[in-house]
Amino acid sequence: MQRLVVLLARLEGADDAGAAQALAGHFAQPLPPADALISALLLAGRRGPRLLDDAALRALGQMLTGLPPWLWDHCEQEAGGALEALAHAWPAGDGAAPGLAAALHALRAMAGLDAAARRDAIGAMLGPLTHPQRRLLLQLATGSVPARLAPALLHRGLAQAWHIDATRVALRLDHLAAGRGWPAADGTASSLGSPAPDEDAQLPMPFRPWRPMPWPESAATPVAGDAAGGCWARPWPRGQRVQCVARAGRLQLWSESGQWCSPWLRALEAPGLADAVLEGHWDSAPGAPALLVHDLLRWQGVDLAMQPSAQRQERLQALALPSWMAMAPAPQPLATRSPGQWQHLARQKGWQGLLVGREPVGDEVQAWPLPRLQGLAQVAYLEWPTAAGQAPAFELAVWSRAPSSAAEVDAVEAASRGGQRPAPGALALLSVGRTAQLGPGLDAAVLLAAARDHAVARFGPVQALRPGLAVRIRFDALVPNRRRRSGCELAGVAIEALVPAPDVVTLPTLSDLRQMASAAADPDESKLLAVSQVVAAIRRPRPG
Amino acid sequence: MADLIIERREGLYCPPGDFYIDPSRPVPRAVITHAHADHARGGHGRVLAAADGAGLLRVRLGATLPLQTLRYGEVVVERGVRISLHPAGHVLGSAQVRLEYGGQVWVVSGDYDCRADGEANPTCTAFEPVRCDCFVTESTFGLPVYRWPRQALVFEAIQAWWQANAALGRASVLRGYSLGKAQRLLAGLEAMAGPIVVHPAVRAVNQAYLAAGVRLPATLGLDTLPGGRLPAGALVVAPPGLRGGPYAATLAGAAEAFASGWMLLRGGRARRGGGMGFVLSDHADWDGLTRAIAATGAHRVIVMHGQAQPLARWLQAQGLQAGLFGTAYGGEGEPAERAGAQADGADSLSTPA
Repeated sequence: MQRLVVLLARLEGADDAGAAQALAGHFAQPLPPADALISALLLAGRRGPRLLDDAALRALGQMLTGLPPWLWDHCEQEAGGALEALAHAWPAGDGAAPGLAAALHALRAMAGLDAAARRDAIGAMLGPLTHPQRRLLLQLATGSVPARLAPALLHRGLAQAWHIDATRVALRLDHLAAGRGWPAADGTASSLGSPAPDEDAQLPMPFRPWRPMPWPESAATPVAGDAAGGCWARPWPRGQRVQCVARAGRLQLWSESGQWCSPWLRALEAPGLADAVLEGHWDSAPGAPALLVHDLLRWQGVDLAMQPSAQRQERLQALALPSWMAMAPAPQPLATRSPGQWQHLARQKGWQGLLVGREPVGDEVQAWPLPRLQGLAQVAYLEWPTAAGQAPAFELAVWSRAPSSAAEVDAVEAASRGGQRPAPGALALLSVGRTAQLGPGLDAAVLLAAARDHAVARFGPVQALRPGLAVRIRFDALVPNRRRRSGCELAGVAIEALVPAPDVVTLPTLSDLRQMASAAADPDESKLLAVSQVVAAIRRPRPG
Repeated sequence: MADLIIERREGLYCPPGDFYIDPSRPVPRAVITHAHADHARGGHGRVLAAADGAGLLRVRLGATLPLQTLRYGEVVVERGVRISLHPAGHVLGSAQVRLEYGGQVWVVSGDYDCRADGEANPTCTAFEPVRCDCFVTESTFGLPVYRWPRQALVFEAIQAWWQANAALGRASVLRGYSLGKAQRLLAGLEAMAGPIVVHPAVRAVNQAYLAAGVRLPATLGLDTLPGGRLPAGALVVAPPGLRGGPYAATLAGAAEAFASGWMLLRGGRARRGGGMGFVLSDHADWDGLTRAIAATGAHRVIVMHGQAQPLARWLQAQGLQAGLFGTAYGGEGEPAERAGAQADGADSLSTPA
């Protein structure tokens, strides 16, 4: 119980998601299984028994503290409620708290008592506790333990503690919550270490790798006949890519990153889909069908993922989907004669789509990479990894124009350290992209150390940078982005190498980047760049 | 018999002695209970204060302050009023003012912290109850919901938070008022996870504490760090302030926490808006207030600032003659911190919580 008290206090003070996730992981490791499981369920939003309402809390408070009603009212007002007042308004005990499972089961056993007996029993439990422990016990008794952790963070944190995948943690917690029971106090009944029934069939199937492809609608011209080797494309769908797994009357929704999204479904049902895995995009816009389905990966227990796309589409069209699902537009045949035009549109207007290619044998998704661009940028700031397995993210920046001298850069830095924002049009370091992708041969630790030496650590002002470190980057495109002050953003960016600190005036500027992207739009003119025109087939990484 | 202390616009006034206690405006003669800026204002003709706090008062009000000091318990007579100062346990040099005249004894508490054995503030002399007929008491935390946890638990929690941050590669910034709270924190911390770094506003006060013989751990200065970078695992003790200012880049990415009595209740933490909260106060809690009042043996109690009304009513219910004084003093460190930190060139300050 004390560990959950500490965790809740730490979560209340946690100022970023990574720290919260790490806290959840560290917290669960040394706990007895039943306590850990109950903590996890509470953090996931499960509520304890509601034994006390506000009136009962007041009555209990006055009984335990012996305060006159007028002074109790002052306490309640100061504390912001009866629960908080009751937790603090009488001397603390020695802190001999029971285990969480024991406390919860003792409270549940009080459900059958009358109000007075229940108050007495809870009062006796509160006596030996410290003030924060009392607050937690009262939250348990009123069904108000705060779920301070986003589900994804909780699942990832617990996955670290249990050494299992976060998707399985999500399923097991969901299964336990659906059962409405609580783990036995001795921890024998269940644990996150035990699989949920039919667990594997409710997990998502591997998402085939997709890469945003240029999608110029004007270029999507029909190709006569079914040209083997031709390409089909569809607009890049709105929303988040998900898989909806239907199994034995239960629905699970998973995002591409493995996040458990089933709560989005709320009361939605799909009675016609007894055993199916549908892939699509979840669109939360009001009025739209929630799930835009574009693929069928499993049907009636049969894995279809290796079948040709046309067969899957045929089966998909034959399905009776519930009203909250709709079919995505079918891919359109696409002329491939003008890659330069595609690239131009993709780079200048940020159009993206999904390119689906068909090869004579089987069915593959093809990626048609744009020629990758190469340039220099500065690491403006970085986000330190806060949990095991998490990669540091680097924010990249370039100068708004070429600095006239090192002194001008120093002046910008000094102004920034003084808290001044650059005037419109003045020299400034502009953020143009963010990446956690590092090229082969580049050690993250080396880059982190170098970035720490040359850049302001996380959240430092971008402008407060002396150009002591530059990184060579590769990127697909420079696309518009109104949310950035630079007005654009690097797409598909990765850091390739650290380079020696160049002279201030030779660092690339925003206009240099624009020029690179513009020049690369026409392959014939891409003299500055290493251009690769290979159409790479990405084989689906799944055998069964 | 006339009261020994009455309220005037300038503050608490002793008519037979013709002097003020902690006046808010310049007066010819002032007795100052301690160096927090809501109690110690400049511009007085003459100032009487405890010898232990002389250094702090000079840091705050200037080296040319016309200061006369008294050791705790020493008596000076002013127009027939016997004045002595007694430890209040709040900050270095904090004092209760005992006045004796015409057979009456009054004690003005100033701010004080009255704790059980083993819980006293290690950076100043512990509170000493003084028998009197009338006790003028503060009541910043004068409600039963304010009961402080044991200090050892608080410092354990701070150390654990600091070490957890260090393990994640993050520095820690622990904010507390620069006079009193910061030194109390420093005295209770052990540099286990990394070095301790202090804001210049804290360092200026530390020097006065060290000169008075208070033991504090070795620290680095935030303004003198090589390259403006924090060492790995560092803990920064700094006054409450907004993010920004000259140290924004140095402190960027650090985990934040705040130490104050206001961190006890959920509302106080929420008003603080983010970061950890540790419950550490230099004021008496409900138990401390009631224990101190009982120990004076006073049959009359006058309550001022904070939760004065409920405390006075509660004392009346206990059979005491209780009344109220309205004063302009702040809560825990509020105006003191604001004024002091500005004088020391600290970061801009947030609303104290």
